[in-house]
Amino acid sequence: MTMGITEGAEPILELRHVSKKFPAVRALEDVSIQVKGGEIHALIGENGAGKSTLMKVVGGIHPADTGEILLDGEVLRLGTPLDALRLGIRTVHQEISLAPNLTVAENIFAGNEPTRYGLIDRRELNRRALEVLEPFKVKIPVNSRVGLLSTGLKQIVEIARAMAGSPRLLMLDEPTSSLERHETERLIGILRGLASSGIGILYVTHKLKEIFQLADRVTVLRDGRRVMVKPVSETHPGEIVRSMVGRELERIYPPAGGDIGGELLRVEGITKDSAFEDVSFTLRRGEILGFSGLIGAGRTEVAQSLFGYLRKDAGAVYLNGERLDIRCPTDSLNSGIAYLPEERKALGLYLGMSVVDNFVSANLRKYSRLGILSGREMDGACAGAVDMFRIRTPSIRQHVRFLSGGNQQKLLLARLLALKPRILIADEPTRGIDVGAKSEVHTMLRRLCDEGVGVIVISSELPEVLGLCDRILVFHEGRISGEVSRRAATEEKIMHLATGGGLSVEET
Amino acid sequence: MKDILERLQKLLQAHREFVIFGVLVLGCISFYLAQPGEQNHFMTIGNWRVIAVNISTDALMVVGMTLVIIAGGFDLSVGSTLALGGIVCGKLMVAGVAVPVAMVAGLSVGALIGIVNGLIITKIGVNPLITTLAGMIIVRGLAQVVTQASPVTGLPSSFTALGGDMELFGWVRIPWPIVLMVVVVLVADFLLRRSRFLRQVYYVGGNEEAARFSGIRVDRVRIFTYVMTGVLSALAGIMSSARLISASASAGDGAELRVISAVVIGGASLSGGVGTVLGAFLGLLLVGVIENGMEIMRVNIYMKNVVTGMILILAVSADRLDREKLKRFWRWLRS
Repeated sequence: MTMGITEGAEPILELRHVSKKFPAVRALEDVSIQVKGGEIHALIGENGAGKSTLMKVVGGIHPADTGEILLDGEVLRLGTPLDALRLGIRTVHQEISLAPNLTVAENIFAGNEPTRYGLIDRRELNRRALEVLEPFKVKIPVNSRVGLLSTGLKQIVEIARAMAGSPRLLMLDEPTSSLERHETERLIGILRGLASSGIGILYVTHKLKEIFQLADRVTVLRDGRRVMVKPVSETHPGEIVRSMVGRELERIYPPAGGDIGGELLRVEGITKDSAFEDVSFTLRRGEILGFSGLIGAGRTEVAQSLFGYLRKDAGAVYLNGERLDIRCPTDSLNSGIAYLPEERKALGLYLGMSVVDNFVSANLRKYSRLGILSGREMDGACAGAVDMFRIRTPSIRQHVRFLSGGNQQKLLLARLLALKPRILIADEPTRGIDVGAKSEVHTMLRRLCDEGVGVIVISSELPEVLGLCDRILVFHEGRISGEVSRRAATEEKIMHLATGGGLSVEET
Repeated sequence: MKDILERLQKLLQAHREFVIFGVLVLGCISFYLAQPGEQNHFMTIGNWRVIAVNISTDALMVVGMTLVIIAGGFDLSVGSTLALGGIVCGKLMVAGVAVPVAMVAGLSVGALIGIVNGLIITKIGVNPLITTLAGMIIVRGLAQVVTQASPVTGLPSSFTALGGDMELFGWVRIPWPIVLMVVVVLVADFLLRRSRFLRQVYYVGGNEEAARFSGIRVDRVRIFTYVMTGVLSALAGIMSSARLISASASAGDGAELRVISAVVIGGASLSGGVGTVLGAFLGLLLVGVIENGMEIMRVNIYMKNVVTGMILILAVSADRLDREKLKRFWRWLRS
């Protein structure tokens, strides 16, 4: 084992040769890890590499088949998640699991409220909540309902809740996947502070950049095995990516396409009260148009209005010069506009249904004659798509719940592309998916463009917007605050426009 | 060996119908063996005809309820709709309206109740449980108002013949209610598996928002499921009044819970997206057979409910159990 900055410190958590098998899913094989006091230990790997399983084993959700888990040098016998909680192991999951109708303070102390004469002592509750939030150095009204907070603040409440139990070990699963850049930076500061108080932090992430910003050491998992562990100061992004995928990624972004054609979609002054105002733009054939901006700038709302899921209050949309009257997603799909939603699980997938059921859901007409579906045609089309999009699944009958995030996303894309859309709007198409799948998604989008489809990509990751898009529209508070061409685009310019910096930097 | 067991478990979980069918066969065998001798008429054609006729009206409602539950809904108003459908049809016939016209009118009442339920649930967004609870009370009330609590009698014999037997080749006699039940169940099962329109019911129940994003007209599908339960419940009402030669305001009282139990025993999930018509029908048959068997065994008649309830909870628990939970339960027992 390599010694790093934390040399000499006692390990808080230690995994010794832990293995875990599942019937259908890849799991863990002989994994050893040490997380020391005061250390932020990053865990990275493609989806399905075993990161989640590892967290679940340590969190007491799944028992390990073989191997030992030690906390402060003592061997643990974890039966249930409650055992792990009692011992001071806290997990912050990727999906926010707060009760939206309770207050911040109530959420932080859920199940553990201070009482007086058997009733909840509200004043004491709020006082303690303030105390817990103090090291976070953010202003969150402890009395406000959690549902009203931004995603970034919810994430902080989530971590505060974990910290309220004074844990020994804090495990975070991609805490920044739905955060804006400034929120991410604030969170990184907070985590550094928490670590310096002596607890161990195990940090699961997909973002290489974050590892170098905050972690002391990094462990890379691939196919359930540990393939690398090193102090961050002794490695570099290239090496980490290489050990994650086991091969060099030739190029992270596909090259820009060839010909951009004529106008495909023209949007004139569409407006929706308290969401966006006077949004006008055009999309051309074979073009990838980026929507950049901070979360809450109205990008998703614009996209969902174009798709007919939300209603716009004013404005007009023209497809090939003809005015569109779209009232619901069905109309939109019929006119060739497809939308890949950001919230994969809530808005895209039927988790309890099979791969093939998910694949055909938007396209039943194609696989039926006289209203009767053909199982053979559906299976054939789905098997073809699984091959073409390289969706990793044991069978097309597998429930999509058991697919990794990247494969779920590829499946959703496959579903939409089977419709042969003229326009594809992809909302955060690579959020929460691993590097390999990410570059596959990018290549798919670019290939689509080459076939003359117009693509709109909404993304909060600046490198993605810069690397992928031919032209970028920047949103700020529900309006388009500027347009930047691929050639002229820089992170600074976009951030400037996105934060309402004013000055237009238009160039074409 | 372990692998085979695991595969078997998977197969059984995927095909609930096999499991229920297996339990059904086991039940039949034990009823047959429990009381040897001539007085045990459990395994006779006559007895099975009784069982089938007994479940025939519930079976129609079970088909509709399966659709509603797969779509993630719920319908408590089926029993009341059964009563009102039968009464409207009966009253019209007594008043001299032609039999087919009166039947269509009865079915239309069911459709109307379904539309109202569906519109309130989808367009106003009231919880299905509450909506159809109100519907159940209102419709039962209407049935009582129309009849003033006295049953409708004097139905024309051309109508009551529907409660009798269908004759084939002059010697095969099958009761019409059984014929109708078999036809409706088989057709509905096929359509739910294979038709494009009904496939959408699974998507709506599986994830309503994702269905919207897949371009499925969610509200239309959900309203359709309520219309189907309405129509099928009214049909059940018409058939039962033909069989009983009268229509009463108390007909179908409590049917809703029996029907929902059968659908759930048959493998449908109240959270939607899962279930089949065949499974639900077998669920109903299982309950019917056990009740009949207990009657033949002369078990205390009130034990029926106890047993039915236990089957329901066992069926649902079996679904929830997996190896991990069994292990945990075992560990808990030992500690």
